[in-house]
Amino acid sequence: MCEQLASILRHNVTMRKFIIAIAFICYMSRPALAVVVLPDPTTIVDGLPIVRQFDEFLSYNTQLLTQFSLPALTDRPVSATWISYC
Amino acid sequence: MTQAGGIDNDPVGGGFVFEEPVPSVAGGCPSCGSFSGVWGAGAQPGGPVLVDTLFAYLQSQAGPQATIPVFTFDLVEPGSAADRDLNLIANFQVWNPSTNTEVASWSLDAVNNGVFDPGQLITVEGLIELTGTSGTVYSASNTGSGSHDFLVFSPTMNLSLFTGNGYQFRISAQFTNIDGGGEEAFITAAFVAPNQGPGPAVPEPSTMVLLATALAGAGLQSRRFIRRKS
Repeated sequence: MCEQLASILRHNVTMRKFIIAIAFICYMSRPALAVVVLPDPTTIVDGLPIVRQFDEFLSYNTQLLTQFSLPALTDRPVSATWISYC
Repeated sequence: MTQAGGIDNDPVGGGFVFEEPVPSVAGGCPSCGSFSGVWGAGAQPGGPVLVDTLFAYLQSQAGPQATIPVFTFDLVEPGSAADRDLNLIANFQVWNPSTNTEVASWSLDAVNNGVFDPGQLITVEGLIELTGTSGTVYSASNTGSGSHDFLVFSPTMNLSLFTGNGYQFRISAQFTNIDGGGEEAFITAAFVAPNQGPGPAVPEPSTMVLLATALAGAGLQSRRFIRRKS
């Protein structure tokens, strides 16, 4: 199978370009697949707002989002910048 | 607050380098009780934090739709009722270092008036219990380390409006009523604030159909090639 594939890639320029294009598409879509878009802050679940407002900020609680069946990740973020550690 | 155990921001995801976390008061926690400090102004190694760098980090890690930073907070207070809450207040600024003036600011405090109100600290609750109209009780125990308990953003903090000028991004924060160690705050690209254009999480069905068609075509092409060769 691998030999056949190698042979195709060696001799077929179109196929080679196609594989490169697919690899490029996969690479470009990589970061987008890793993020979670936070839910609409105006959402009401069971009569309860899903956010709390603190002046100019909105705050979600991740455990409540899960209990409301809304998307949240509760583990540590893979990509994060530390602001403080107390 | 401290940069405990070698924690730094050099590098974070994508190879970006940011100012190190704000250091603790002498002696560290627990027993520090309160803390105040500024992140982003260059007081720590790796600083200052430039809006351009922060914006590039968000775009690199979360895609072009990420223009508003999302902050996370891991509340680590002890679980006992007397100790599990803490209080905090923060002011976020875009700062022009050339003129030493504030360009824009966003306040996180207990008064919803769009103005920073020093002394009006919010309460970060270690235990939240809510009862829905159905009678269902929703409960979140936020104490303990290892998860981000709160996700916070300001809908108007669109950093794309402040890039290209050499501006700095600063956070001034004050914590009180700290009873245990390990309270952690992050900026993360793992989350994207809503209402920032098309959502990126799942490829559209049409994209998947296009990909499947292309793969089918590739399969047919390779079969034809193999048949011709044999």
